[in-house]
Amino acid sequence: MSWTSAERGEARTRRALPQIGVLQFTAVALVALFVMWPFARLLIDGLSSSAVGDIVSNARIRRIAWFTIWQAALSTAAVVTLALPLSAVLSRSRFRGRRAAMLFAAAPFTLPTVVVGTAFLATLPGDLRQGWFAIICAHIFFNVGMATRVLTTATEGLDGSPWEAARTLGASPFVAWRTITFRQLQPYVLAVASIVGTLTLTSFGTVLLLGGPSYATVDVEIYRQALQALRLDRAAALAVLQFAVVGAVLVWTLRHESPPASTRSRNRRAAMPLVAQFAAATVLVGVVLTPLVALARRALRQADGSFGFDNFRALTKVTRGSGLVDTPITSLVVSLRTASAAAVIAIVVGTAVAVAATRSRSLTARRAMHALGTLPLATSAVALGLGVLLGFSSEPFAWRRSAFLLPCVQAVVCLPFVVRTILPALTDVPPALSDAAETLGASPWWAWWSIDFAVARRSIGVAIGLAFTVALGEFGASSFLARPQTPTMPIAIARLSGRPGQVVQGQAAALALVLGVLTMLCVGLAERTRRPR
Amino acid sequence: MNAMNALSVRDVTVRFGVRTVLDTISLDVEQSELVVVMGPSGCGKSTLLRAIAGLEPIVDGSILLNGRDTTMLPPHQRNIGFVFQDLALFPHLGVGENIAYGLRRRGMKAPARRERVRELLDLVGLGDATMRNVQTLSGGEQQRVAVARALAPSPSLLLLDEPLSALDADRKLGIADEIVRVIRTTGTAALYVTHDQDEAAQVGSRILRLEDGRLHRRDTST
Repeated sequence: MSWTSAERGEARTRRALPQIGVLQFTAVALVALFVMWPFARLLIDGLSSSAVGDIVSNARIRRIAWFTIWQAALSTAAVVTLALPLSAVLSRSRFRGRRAAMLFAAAPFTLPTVVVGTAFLATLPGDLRQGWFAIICAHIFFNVGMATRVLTTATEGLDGSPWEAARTLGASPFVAWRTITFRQLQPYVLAVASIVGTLTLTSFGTVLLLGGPSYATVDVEIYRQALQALRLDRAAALAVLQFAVVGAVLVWTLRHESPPASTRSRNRRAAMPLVAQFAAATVLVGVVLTPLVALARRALRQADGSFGFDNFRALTKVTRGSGLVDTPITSLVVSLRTASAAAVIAIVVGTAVAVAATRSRSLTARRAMHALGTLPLATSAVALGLGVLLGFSSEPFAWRRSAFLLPCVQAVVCLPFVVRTILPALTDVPPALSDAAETLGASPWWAWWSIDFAVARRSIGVAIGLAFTVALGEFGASSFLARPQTPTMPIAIARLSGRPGQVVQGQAAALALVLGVLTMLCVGLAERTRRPR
Repeated sequence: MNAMNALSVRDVTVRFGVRTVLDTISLDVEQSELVVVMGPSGCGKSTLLRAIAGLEPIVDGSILLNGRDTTMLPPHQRNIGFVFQDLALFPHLGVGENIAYGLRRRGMKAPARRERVRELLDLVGLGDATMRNVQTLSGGEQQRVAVARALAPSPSLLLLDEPLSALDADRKLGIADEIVRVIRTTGTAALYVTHDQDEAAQVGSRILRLEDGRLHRRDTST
């Protein structure tokens, strides 16, 4: 008779904390209020009117839906097509600074979408600045570093012997890669494609800035229907339809997801020729660097064509026709305040969810709490913003004008990232540590605080940085809820970018650069926290 | 029931779902006695220790420590020392802080704590290791820190769950001797669990055999 922890069941390996029900109740109540209630209002408003019929029969909206799908498909295909050869080379590269180059290449993934949009407005020439080409380029810039990093790490972990066997059987390097390595990589490719596909299907900030009058995704149309045409019913119906499409994509992906290939022996194949290594690194860094340099140049270019800090100085002035009633720099203060509050809320709720997901009594309760923490991922930020607008504008929750609503909604957007950072860290703490603390006289909650929390504190630090960064750049939900007089930075950038005039465009680029640098600093700080000293 | 016993386990039953892991187990450990429970892997040895410590709920029976019924008490109120199979040293705390953890929980003042930590480190032969990181210690040193930490709050009973399982075979017996010496020096009653016959013979004054969740037979001391 053998009793492994698996036989005993996951629920018994880590003992439940007393009064865990209080945490469970708090987490359920908050998620119900800020995620389920807005979503219920979307369903009620979207499905109870004639709006569904309206949008299905509307040729313009059908065109938008079709554009949303094909731009997402093309963006995903382009990202994967570029990332695959780059990862094949980089996984066999040994040059100095390779890790730094990969980290830098993945940085755009953390940039706010309005910063990406503003960067491409500064990068592309003339007619190409707005339209489908600009959108696809921006999506590639945003995703390719992340995709390359994931696929490079996956390739490095693959069992290299099947590739070697194929080579000894007469396959050329390319044929061996296509028939062996690519097949081993398929689960990872699918995972990357599903992330890029979902992100580009629900792309908002980038498309709002780069789409111009002719191109819009469903998220942009939800925004326009709700805030420009004031057709909240149509916007809600679109959000429901979008939820159905994105949900179907996610379900399809989950069904076709297979376990990753074996990683028994590390891939120890010889390094690629230096030329190939150099070319891959140059392409990757070039793709990422070009828009960032263009943004910096635009931010520093003054009205007379020289370079200086005029645009940054102009951030402290109110410009007529800018669409802002206060100075652009005020939005920095608003964003810092809102993002700090959102990060605090997200960390408190996210930690509560993670604790409940690891220390509840039953396995079912633990799984339910885990699912609860990632629930906001099921809907786009734009749909969430619209749902909150609908759900909190009338009794019993007439909180539309309350100052705490925006940080709460930003915290909801951050919640899945926080839970996905803290939960694995808490799960990694061996249960025996808190058992040992209790046998030494610590109460269960003190044992959790002094041991589990203390051991996982780096990840909690990372989660704080992540939550603050996500909240700082949050645009989709905030654009529905921020007060017109006190916009957050991304909203101010979008407003400035949409207005004509040298001064205003310069302000937009300068503000986008400030937000971009701030975001990268936060991510860098979070990465530093992750590394043990 | 003998009130003088350090530990009295009476008809204890533990179930995981429908499977009975410990079936009406009874055993006594006298004051300052070191008893070994031996049995094959998965026979319920660790579960027995965890049940005595209050880490595993029991469905029937009672557990008395120094004559006091602790069956319903949570682990932190039982005054038990536990040396875990994987030692469970706190990785974010130094050697001294690991040993002082239980003393802090008992409200001991800092100077007295430092004194007690030094005393225990001397006892286990690690006199100058107070400030060291536990992750930089060798397996044998970690082992001694775990014993010192469990003994620091002067528990009424010490439970040792296969404490040598992570060590090489040739180092096991030397460290087993060391553990026995330390336990005897402090005069603490102890229940020592192992699946290794040689280790059991070396450690125990009395050896009990656990199989399929039942105490089948009792060997006298070797």
